[in-house]
Amino acid sequence: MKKKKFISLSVLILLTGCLDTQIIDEILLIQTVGIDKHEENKLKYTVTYPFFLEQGEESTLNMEQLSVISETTEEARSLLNTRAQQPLRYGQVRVIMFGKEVAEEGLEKYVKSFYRNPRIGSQIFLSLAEGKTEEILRLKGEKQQRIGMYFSDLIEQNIEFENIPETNMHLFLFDLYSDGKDAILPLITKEGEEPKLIGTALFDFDRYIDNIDLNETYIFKQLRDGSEGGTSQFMVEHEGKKEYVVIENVFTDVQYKEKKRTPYPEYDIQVEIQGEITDNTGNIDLNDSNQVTKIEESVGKQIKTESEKLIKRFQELKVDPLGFGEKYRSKTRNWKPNEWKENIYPQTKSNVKVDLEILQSGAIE
Amino acid sequence: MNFFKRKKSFQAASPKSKNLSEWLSALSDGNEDFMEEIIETPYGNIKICYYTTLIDHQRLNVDFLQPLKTTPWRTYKDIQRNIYVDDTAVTNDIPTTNERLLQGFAACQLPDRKEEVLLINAPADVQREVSIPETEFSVIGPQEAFVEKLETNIFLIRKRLPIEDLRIRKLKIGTLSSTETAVFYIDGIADQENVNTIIQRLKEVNFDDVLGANALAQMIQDHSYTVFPQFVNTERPDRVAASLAEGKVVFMSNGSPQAIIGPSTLVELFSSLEDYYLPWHIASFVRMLRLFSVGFSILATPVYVAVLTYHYEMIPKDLLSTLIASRSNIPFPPLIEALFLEFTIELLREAGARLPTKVGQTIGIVGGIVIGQASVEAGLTSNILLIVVALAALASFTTPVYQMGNTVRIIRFPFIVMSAMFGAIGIALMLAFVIAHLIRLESLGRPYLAPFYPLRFTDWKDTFVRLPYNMFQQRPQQMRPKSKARKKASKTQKNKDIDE
Repeated sequence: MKKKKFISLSVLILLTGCLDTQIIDEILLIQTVGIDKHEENKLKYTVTYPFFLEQGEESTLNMEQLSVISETTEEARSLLNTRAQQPLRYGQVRVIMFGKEVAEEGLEKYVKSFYRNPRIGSQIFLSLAEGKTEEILRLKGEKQQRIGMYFSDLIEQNIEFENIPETNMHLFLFDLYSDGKDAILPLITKEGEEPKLIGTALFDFDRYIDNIDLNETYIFKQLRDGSEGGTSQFMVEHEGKKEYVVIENVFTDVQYKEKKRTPYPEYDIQVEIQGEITDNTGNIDLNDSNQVTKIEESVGKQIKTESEKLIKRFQELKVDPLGFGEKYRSKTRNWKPNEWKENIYPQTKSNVKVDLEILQSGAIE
Repeated sequence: MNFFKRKKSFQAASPKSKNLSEWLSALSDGNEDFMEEIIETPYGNIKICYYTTLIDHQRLNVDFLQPLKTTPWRTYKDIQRNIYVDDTAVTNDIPTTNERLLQGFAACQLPDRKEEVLLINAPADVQREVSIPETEFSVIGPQEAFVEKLETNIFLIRKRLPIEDLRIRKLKIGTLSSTETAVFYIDGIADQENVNTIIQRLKEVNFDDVLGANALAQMIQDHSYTVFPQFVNTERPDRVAASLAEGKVVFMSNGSPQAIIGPSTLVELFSSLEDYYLPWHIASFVRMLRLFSVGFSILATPVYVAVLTYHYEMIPKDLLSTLIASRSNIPFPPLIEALFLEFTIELLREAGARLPTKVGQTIGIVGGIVIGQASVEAGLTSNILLIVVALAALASFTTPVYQMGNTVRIIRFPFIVMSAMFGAIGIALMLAFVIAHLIRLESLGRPYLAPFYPLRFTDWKDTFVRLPYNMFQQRPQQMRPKSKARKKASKTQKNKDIDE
């Protein structure tokens, strides 16, 4: 008994020698990954990681960017390591950016490779790049030093406070594998030296199909999951002149109701928007409830037509990011994904009803 | 309990001569403080012998010698009647005489009664004043603490529980020290089994020099290989009174200003008596703060080591650059870094405890600020770890029972080593080990982890929180009290009997 105890204890202690330590300052932590297409079947992986220069007591943060050409993600890491001072690790990846060309051929295998890595959380952001990711990930000046945080903060704050619909790796894969819903990703491009969000990319399974711009994305976000933020500018007619009002969303609730099923399903989409006028041009008297009601009606109508246009476009593209399929499937026996996609979805009717309520219009002297 | 059984035990006080007078005369041979003198009085001569160092000379003079010289006497009985000392005895037994002499009695002998002596109690009284509790200070509540003298301590307890049911059993323990030990319990509340257990264990202690109650507690505890103290140790008479009222058994030794309370549970070791003086919300908050700080104190450094050594993906993105920046200059792995700081803090604590109060404070400041700052600047530790370790140390000092605070500090080290070997799994393993260990522990045969294991919800009123007194109508089940209700049976509204 004593011998057994001794052996098991010593095994316990001696085996710890086999465990790799990955001490935080002795590895390089990749924070963003960009994947571009590069000739034939090859891919170009671009990674950025922070490293610290020790200068006496102070150490300065620097960002480095490396690119390699390879077929798979792990092979890329191993190739990157041949050029890195310390071992590179994926554990702190915050944003993975795909080039459009890659996305057109399908993203599943790349995303799955990251998804399988237990050190990478499923709440990281995926995004699509208009242009080369290598270029986009090369920022200038001070921004370059914060590049690891820059893109994840950019996407995160736009999801939380602005018009980008909620997205991360988990949601992307969930939508991807769902029969009745298609995935989306935020679309990023570089204008001059500035990276910026320009809309939402639409996917059919894992292939990029088309994208919608920021204004459409605003409407799309309201329709997809409602929202608690976001601002948009609308044009209204006032005394024969074109005036602009900016409406900030306070709360949006969206409800889908199946009105009928045969021969083709018809959905009532009830969008209740509670908003706040934060800015306007011209002489609209916001104290006058009649005028506010006019704005409500006018803007509501605009949102309604925009929404219907957007849904029609989705149907033409045969993509279903709003998840009509999910709603249909949940009440259907013998659900046939292909039939839905090819025949039923393009014929589905939807009536959008927008109920905009202006709660307030700011503090007035 | 033959913890310290010697092969040849020393036999104290084995008088060689059987004659009392000869034995008395022989005593002064080896003991230079033993006095033997003949007192001349108008009514005859009398021999008196005593240890000068143990005797209160003024008392002997005023209460014994003066009346002897002024009032006529012939026999021991006359003397006993005349002198102003109550505690006297006539004996011919050598062991009794020996014992009494060593307790501060004087023996006087009439020339015609060689076979008997009269023992007169006149002990020198060296005693500390009852003072403010040092280790268990409380802001509100009584400011008195036990002293070394057992009689004073018994007085302090009796004063708080003026009932005849408070029973005191006295024992003498230790072949050399023969330490006077008193066991307290309230008859009718305390479970007789607990009382019997503690008395039996105390009786069976076989050791020469029993240093006091704390040493005794270690000798009679259920598990001697554990780092967890199984008895609450207190210097506050109010805590003793409160414990007795709950049905616990307490013992104290002459010469040590601490009372040992048993059976105890883990939670009690984190409760301070101030919890019962403060309003219950505040008391509950403070108690939860304390329990949280124990967890923090044990786990903070190991988690730091584990995350920085193995689990880099767990670091929040906003903390990442700060952490890397603070670590980038440090040449050691996190384990060495953490052990170095923990060791420094332990050194500071130990140095502060050993040095006189004022120097100790200086050491604390010098150590805390200068060494900490310097080691960060020298690139030996990261400043984040410095904060973590300092907070953990601070948190460990919130434990009100001193022994438990030591345990909290000690137990951190295996956690740190495990976290460096196995990462978070190591911490989980160690935690499982500690919990399993705690479940197995007993205090006087009662489960140590009660009321969580075994689960007794009625006792939860006094664990994480301290509920208001109207919830305290039943004594804790842990003690198996003979009478459970803390309330008088009468239905008078006013009479909410609160013992604490």
